Amino acid sequence: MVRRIPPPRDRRLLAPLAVFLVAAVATSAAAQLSSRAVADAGPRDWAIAGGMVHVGNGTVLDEATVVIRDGLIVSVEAGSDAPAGMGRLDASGKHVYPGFITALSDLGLGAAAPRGGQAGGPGGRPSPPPPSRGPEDRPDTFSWRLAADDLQADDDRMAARRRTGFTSAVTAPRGGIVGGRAAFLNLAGDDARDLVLDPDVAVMVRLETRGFRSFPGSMMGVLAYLRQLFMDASHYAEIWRMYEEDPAGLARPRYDRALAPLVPAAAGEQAVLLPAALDKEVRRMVGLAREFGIRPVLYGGHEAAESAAFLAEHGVPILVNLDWPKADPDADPDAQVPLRALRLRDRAPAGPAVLAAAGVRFAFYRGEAPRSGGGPPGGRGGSGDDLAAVRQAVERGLDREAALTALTLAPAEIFGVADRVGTLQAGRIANLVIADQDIFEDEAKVETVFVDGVIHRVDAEDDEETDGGETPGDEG
Amino acid sequence: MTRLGRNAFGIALALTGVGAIAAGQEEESWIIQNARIHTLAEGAEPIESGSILIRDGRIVEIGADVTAPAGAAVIDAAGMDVYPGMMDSVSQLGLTEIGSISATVDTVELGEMNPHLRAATAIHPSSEHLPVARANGITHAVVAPGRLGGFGGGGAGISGQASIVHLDGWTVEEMDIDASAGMVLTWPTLSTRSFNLATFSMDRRSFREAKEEYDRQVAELGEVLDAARRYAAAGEAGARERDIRLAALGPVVGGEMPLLILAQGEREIRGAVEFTKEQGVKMILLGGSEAWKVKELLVEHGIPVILGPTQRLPGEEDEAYDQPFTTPGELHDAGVTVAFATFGSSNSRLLPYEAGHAVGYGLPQEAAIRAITVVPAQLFGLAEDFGTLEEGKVANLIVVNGDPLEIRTEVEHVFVNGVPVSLDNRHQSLYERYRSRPHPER
Repeated sequence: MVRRIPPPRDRRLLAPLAVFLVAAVATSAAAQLSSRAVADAGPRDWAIAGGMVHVGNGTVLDEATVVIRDGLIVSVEAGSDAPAGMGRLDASGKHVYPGFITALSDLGLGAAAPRGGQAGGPGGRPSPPPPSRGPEDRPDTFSWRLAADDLQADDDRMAARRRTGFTSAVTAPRGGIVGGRAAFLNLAGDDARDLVLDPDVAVMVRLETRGFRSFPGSMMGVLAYLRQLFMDASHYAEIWRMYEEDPAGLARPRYDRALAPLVPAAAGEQAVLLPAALDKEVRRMVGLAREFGIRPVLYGGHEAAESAAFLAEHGVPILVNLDWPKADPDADPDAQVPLRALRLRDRAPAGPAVLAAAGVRFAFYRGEAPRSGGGPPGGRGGSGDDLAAVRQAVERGLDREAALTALTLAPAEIFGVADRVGTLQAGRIANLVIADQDIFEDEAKVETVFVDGVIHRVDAEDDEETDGGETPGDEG
Repeated sequence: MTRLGRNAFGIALALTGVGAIAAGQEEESWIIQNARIHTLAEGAEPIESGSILIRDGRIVEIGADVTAPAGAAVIDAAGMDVYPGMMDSVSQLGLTEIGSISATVDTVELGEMNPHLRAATAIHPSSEHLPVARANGITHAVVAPGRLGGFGGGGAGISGQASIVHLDGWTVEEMDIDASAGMVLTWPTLSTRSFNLATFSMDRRSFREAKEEYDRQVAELGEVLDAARRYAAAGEAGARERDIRLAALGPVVGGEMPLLILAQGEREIRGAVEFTKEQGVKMILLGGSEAWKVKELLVEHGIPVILGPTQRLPGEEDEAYDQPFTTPGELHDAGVTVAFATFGSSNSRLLPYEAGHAVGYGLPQEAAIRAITVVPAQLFGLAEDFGTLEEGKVANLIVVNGDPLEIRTEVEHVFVNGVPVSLDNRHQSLYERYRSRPHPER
């Protein structure tokens, strides 16, 4: 199917595929919704009444009611009146937030492959690729891969993350210098297709080397390769445009599955995720992005405090890794920790406050660690850690409203889905979190999570959640 | 004239001198006259203008008034200084020629427990490195088997017996001073990271794992020494079975031969000191990058240090940039006995600059020169014959035109085992060769 897609007629090469996928997802989701409505014993529509509603755009409504119908938010209004004929969830004294978004992950891709395993699709490890000699071999480039195509609905790390208030995630394909394209997911659904909110939000880039036997074996090799790749992608778009306009007398251009999906990114129309844990890496990556006119979204940001002014000046958003650098519990107790590492450990959680003050758009994620950022590669399914880490940032001066934005609206905007998620406004998808108190208080507990309007209760006792369909809530 | 040119001029002069001496070699006695003599004898001032008479390999007479006997070859050293020959306290001279050509490298044996190896067996008397070191004033050296912390690290265990040799002679027997001067033990390192040569990357393991292996290695060392003790006792009781390994360790457990323990980190040094105290054996610390952190311990137990090459980067990222340079002075001030060594072969010629650099960073000049002459002789029990210029001692000495720790100073004459030796060497012959290469029209 993919191979038969004609070369680009416009610069947005992916359009046909994207349209197809979105259509497919929409159709199946609609079917799913209707069938589920019939099957479920509990209510499909809810009024969450009387809570303190944090809309997510700076507005906070005390004692307001959020009405959800068919998976969408219908209204957010002051008062605790609930329309008849729907479930009523009493949220008085509680805090209601837009569902949190983890801005980069591998959630939904199943458990990570064993270390050293070649990144690939689910189900088995392909044999290691032959050594590449140069850019022409497109080393570790999988731009045609869509994380959305490899999703597994039974990845239980999604449920674990949901219990901590996360309703959405950006999931990028694993491995590779160009890993493929990341998808924006809602963290619930019976079928992998239900998860996808947008199958193609950004190109995932990592600065990976391939050892001494294969190009690129060094950082300079990787950067040279990326430059060649973006040059080639621009050229590819140009030559196909000319050929499409008038093929007469022109040699037939070659199809390249590595380049075709990069055309929108090379044209600055699609975001490119670039790793940058340290300040020097931030500057290096922004330099690369500016050279080729691509739209960077950096991830890492452990020296964000140092980079804030620079990022603000260039209007570059950054995803801050909540896996704050810390001592390895297994480390040699007598080893001298360099001042550099101690400073990074101390300063990293203070970075978001500086970013907010400088007006940099930033969001949070956990796990996917750039080379020097510390921590294992790949996502970690730890629960509760994310909010604890955000609270650390709040403790170090990050304004609570800014922290909420970084968990909700900011990632939605960065990945172009703010018209659907990120705030509690009429017409948006009903992703919400209800907590027993201000979420940035240490003792705060997530009690209930709605994803696509479906209720998921978090039982504090055993950290299990019960599905609203099986156990009707405390309706009024 | 370029600096190299000046040096060559100096070397050429020296050669002329040696040539003259060689012509009258039947005499077998030499007298160095009109020299400022730094005897380095305890409490002695330099003799401003004195003579040294050398016969049968020894210093026969030394002082301001020495009458030249008939037939003695005369070396006029007016304006020059005479010092005892320098001793490289740990080297691999003669064991390795070119590091990257394995056929010329004979520093290690397989296995972790090789006390029965003796470095002298492997010394190549014609090594090109010997004349190079000699031309810079090194007259004798300790030659130690083992990796000595070189590339790839590792190599924990006993690598064999260090031998002390003159840097001149046709055969090892001619060079021999003490074939079994000390037992080289590379102390195990407790490291969670190690370089894997197979994959060319850093391997990581947990601290617990690393500690377990370290403890096991230390325990094994203890067991070996215990076995050597039992072996010695059994031998005295008449047992006839022979074990060359345990026999070789006899002098160590008997307290006659020192363990030369290579250890760099604070924890490793502490471990080694504790071990030798428990075992009741003599210890000389080699390397000692972090010896400055355990000065009191070294003083308390009277453990001398043979410092590894100090012309290097600090061991830790946050260490002072000059820590390797100030370490000798710090140790000396604390009362630790310090000697210098190059731990190598091609760099043995740099020994005086190890000491000289330390002077720039706080080590007294007197202590620095002693650390490459008297102190090593004392450490290895050779003080009766080596280290100072006194009557009756072996005539290993150098005639120089200035402070021997200064790079600009030139070595004019070298006596090894009572005989003046040629200062010709590969560095110089290569210099001559390329200086006289054909030049295109300028």
